Amino acid sequence: MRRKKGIAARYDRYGYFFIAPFALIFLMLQLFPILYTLFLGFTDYKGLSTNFSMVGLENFYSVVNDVSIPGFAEDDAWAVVDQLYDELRIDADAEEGDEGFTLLIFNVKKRNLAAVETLLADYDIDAETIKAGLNPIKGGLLYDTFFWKAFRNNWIIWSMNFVPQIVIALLIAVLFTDLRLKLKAGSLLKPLFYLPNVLNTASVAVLFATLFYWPVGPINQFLSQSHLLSESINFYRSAGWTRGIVAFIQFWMWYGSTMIIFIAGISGISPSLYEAAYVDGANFKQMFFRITLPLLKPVALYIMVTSMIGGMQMFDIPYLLTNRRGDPDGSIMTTPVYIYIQAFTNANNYSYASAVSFGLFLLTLLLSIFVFALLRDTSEIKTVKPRGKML
Amino acid sequence: MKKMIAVVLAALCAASVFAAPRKLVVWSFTDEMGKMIEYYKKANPEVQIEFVLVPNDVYQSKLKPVLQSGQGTPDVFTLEAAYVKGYVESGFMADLKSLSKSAANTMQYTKDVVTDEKGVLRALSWQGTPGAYFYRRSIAKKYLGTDDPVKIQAMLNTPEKFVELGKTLKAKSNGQAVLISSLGDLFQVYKSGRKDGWVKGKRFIVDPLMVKLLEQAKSFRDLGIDGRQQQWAEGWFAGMKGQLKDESGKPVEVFGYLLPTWGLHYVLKPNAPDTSGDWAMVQGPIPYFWGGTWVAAYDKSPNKAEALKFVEFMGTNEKFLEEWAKDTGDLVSNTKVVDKIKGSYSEAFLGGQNHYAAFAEMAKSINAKILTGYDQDVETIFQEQMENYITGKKSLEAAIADFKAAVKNQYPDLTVR
Repeated sequence: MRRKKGIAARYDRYGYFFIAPFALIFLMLQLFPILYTLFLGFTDYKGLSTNFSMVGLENFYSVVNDVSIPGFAEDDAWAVVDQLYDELRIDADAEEGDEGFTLLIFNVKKRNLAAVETLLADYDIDAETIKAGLNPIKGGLLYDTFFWKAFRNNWIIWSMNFVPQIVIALLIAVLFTDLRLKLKAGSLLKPLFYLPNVLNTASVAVLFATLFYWPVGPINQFLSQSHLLSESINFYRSAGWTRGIVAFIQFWMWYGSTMIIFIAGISGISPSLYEAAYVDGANFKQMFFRITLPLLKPVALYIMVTSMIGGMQMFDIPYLLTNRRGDPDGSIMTTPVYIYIQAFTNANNYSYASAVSFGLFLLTLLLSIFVFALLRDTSEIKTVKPRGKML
Repeated sequence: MKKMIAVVLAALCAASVFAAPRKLVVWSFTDEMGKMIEYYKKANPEVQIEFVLVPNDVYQSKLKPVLQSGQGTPDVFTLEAAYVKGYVESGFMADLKSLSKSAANTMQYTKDVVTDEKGVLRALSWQGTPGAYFYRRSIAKKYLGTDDPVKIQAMLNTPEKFVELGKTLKAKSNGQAVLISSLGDLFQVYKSGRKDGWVKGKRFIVDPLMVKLLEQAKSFRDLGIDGRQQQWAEGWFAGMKGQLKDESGKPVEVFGYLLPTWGLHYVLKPNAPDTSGDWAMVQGPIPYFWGGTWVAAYDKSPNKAEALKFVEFMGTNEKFLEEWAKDTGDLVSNTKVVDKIKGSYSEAFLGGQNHYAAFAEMAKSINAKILTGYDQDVETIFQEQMENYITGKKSLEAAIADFKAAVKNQYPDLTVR
């Protein structure tokens, strides 16, 4: 490509100035926090103190040991228990057994094992005995049942929401863009379908929480008084119902948006294709499956990936609908809700929450790559590149 | 000329910044403090106070980051019994050595809770919070033949008798009357009777009384003597007004509520004004205490002197406490004031009953050593598993196991066996 000279070269530089504000703000307010969160995932930052140290991969995979050492005299055992707490802040207990007292030491992290060995050496306990009494417990993100359950919840709720959303949005989009139907109500109905997306999610959560309240919410009253049921259904005590309600809310709030994108996608298909097909005698079903759907593939890919990312990040409805802990029994505790609970409630495990965030990011990235690889438009790669210089 | 005007204006602005009274920022989790601030303003009209209300369920989420970062901190903040102990050792609460003389007559247990390991007093409370059972006189007369507090207390002074009374009410009213509105009411009662709090050192402890609570709650639900409402929800309040209906539209009469001292002026009076005079109070099946609010000054506040004055007023000013007690019926923490007014107190809402003397007696046996900073969070997890067990979704062992697993997940440093 020839170097541009003169006025063109000077104007080129202005482009950088125009994007500089965004780049600066992105770096400060988005990129730096993302990188810092990643950094925190490798520390032990938690609680009210502001001091923390690096702990490597402990938040992701750790082995914590319970140690059990038999054969202590009673006084010695209790002395060790006190010493362990006073000096190392490690919890221990002494249990009476058949042959003297057994010393039980709890939650010994790998990096504290050496200090424990030194302390016990004063009581003639050698490293071999300690090693024999180790009971390792695997922990960290990889073994966190709550994290994997939360991730599973993300998938369950998202798929319950996504499938009807795609189907109905596509159906409505096709009906609105059909050249022969020429629906006039489009200009009224399209904003109406989009309206739920504009609603404040907190208000929606309160609305649905009140609607399905047990025992005397409106839905339960209706069911009882119209004699459809003899007893109220405790909707928010049932995992199935609660997940269904969350999925419905997500569907209801987003099908309008999906519909708009599909309408845009279908409008981009040249009508001459449909006219040619009509002339050739194709019916509606054939036109839909052979023309519309294949040409909508890029749009569908976009919808699928963005919806999936949104599904993995689902927070406001699951958080606000029940008791802000994803109950009943953690059935709507999605991963972001889990991150929030770890970071901003209870013990404020900021470092662990950062590790979970990073884990979620990796998983979402892998899934997006997978979906892209599966659905990308391979037709472009196969076409023959035209010969000759590019101008 | 213009320059001179500019300089003069700038000087005036700078001067006004220094001369203007600094605003005292007070954070609390209910509007109760807002009402108390009115009394402070009457006594100290020159002080400007900004009151910030952060709802209790997100109070800690908002307060902790602010205290940690030092940005946007309040000068005075209140803490509830369910989490006050988590802050006593944190260094964020100013030490109140200078107020120990004025606090000489404050109830000992309210001072013990907020004294740190080195013996320094860190906060003050204006109230003692023994718990009671408030019942409707009209329902008592209708189904039990009497509304006399002494006779009613005799009918329910043990947990077993309490259940029997529930069965009697249900039978006599053909299922229309229930003993309590929500099983959450039982929770506080059993909680304060424990021997051990939730955490000792680094050990997580499930006191056997909590297991007994699970079993009792389930039996209440199975017998149908509770109103099946959630505490602090619309149905809970509706029962106080006498307007509770079940899902088929039949009215449900709630006989009573297990509430503490502040329950009278903070819950019953504002939410059931039309039933004034129809209530009475008895101690209930088990002596208990519920809640309590402590006021602390922020240690690094630029307004520390004013903040300490505020804390002193709220916790120890006898004139204010006497006025507050007479206006609201709240049991204040100053023993001198309590002794002064308990003889002649007559509460119109309770049909003229002198509940104050009764509460003053009950306050003497409160054991607040079982409070820990983990209470609010652990109990939220506990109540979820309690719901699962009561509604029959889990067995008792599974509910307790899941409870322990969730606590271990939230607090990985605790030993949970």
